[in-house]
Amino acid sequence: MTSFYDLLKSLTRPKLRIMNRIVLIDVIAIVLTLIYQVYRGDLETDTPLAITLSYSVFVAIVAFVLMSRNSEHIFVSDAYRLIPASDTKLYSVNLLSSFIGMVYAGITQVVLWVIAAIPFWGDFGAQFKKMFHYTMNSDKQNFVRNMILVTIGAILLAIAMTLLLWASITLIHLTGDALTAFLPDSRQKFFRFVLYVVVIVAFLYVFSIIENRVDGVMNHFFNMNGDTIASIYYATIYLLGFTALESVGSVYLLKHWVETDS
Amino acid sequence: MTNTIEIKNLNYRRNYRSILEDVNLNIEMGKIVGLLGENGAGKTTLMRLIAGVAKGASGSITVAGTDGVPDKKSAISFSEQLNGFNPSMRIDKIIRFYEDVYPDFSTKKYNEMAGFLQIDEGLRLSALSKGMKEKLIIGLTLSRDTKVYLLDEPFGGIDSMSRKKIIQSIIKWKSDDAVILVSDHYVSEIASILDEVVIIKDRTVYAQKSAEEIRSKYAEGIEHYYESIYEGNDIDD
Repeated sequence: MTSFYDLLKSLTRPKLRIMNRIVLIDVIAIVLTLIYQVYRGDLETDTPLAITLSYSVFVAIVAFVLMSRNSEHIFVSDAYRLIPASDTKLYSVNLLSSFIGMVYAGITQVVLWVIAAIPFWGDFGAQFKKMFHYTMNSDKQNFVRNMILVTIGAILLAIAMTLLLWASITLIHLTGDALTAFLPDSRQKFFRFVLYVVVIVAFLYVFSIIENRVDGVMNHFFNMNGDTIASIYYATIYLLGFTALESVGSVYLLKHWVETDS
Repeated sequence: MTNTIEIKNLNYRRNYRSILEDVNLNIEMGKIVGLLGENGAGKTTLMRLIAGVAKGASGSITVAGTDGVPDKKSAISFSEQLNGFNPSMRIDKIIRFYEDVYPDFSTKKYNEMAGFLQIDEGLRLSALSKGMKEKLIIGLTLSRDTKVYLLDEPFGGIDSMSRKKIIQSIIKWKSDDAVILVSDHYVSEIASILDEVVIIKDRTVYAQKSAEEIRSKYAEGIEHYYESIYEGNDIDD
């Protein structure tokens, strides 16, 4: 049997290669944009950071999409489904490796932000000192503690949202794949069209659930009272619970119905 | 002798089409078995069901005494395991993947075979010719130390000289107790290494005979026996 660690290594490597390509293109785009700004004479101290931050949005979207594509491919390819490991192990390692890929992309973006912030490092330091001074002398009790709890909660919430999105995409993909086995060959094209519509509707449905939850949290986000912080954590647990349910469904489909593409 | 593969009452349908019906098959330890049948007969499907990558069948498939899918996968090396790699992936990366995910993969055995098969590890998958890709598949599949090797039409793109050499070498690359189930169109070329022949016809196992029996009883070669069955002149006892 293949160990969890060996499987993780094998599934993570190609995802990190994808991320490296995205980051390389990101860096090239940043450099080219900076050169263009110099050519136009518009380059200011904060321009590199502004450009890097704005490109990070695209990097996040592209990274998410390519991670999803790679993950879904694993579930229907012989190369991975023939590995001597249970479907539960393959599913969880696949999800974890995508998550590692996203974390890796996040770290590279932070590194790029730090590099891009070098031109106005002095200003940044001054701002940080000011904020630190305000925090230390704040008359609000537990301000620092609450700030830390909110930050950790927000990170956990973002992780839970990402995992739920991946779990939803996988469940929709595997459901569609399993259902195609029960259709006559002649209706496949029609069914696939219907399936795409269902995928989009299901995606919007899941997205609206997440949005409602997050909205509920965000409405009170800056109030900094204990209940709001707790609501971030409740929302995270809710999303993770939903993710777990979807994962059980996906593993069942993998075990009994989803074949590899022959 | 113990059976390495035991299939009982296997039925498989897909898209409202029956592909395999009431398949019963036992393959003894250590045998090299030719799985023969015309295109679309269900040879590949049968192999995919044995390997656990085709789903939704009724009946039972036991491999090396186990019917749990992960355990069966440990006991089987299937030639389809290259499907799904990125075409831009280099061969050395694929070998690294095999080393990681298959605890029974022997790099030493692979290197010996790669030398014999003249596989260039620096190339990408997309740069390989059909024949070279098939050589790689054979090398990777047989470099695992498993109880069952499933080779689905592995020689189609390989030139006839290399094909003969590879077919003759297969015997020395497998351990004594391992089963090889091989499907191929070149019946006459693989006939010399076969211990048994399984013919798939009319969605089921139509005949299972030992190669020796075919040769002695019917005084015909395996290829002729196979053709006579498909032409409807089956010689039966």
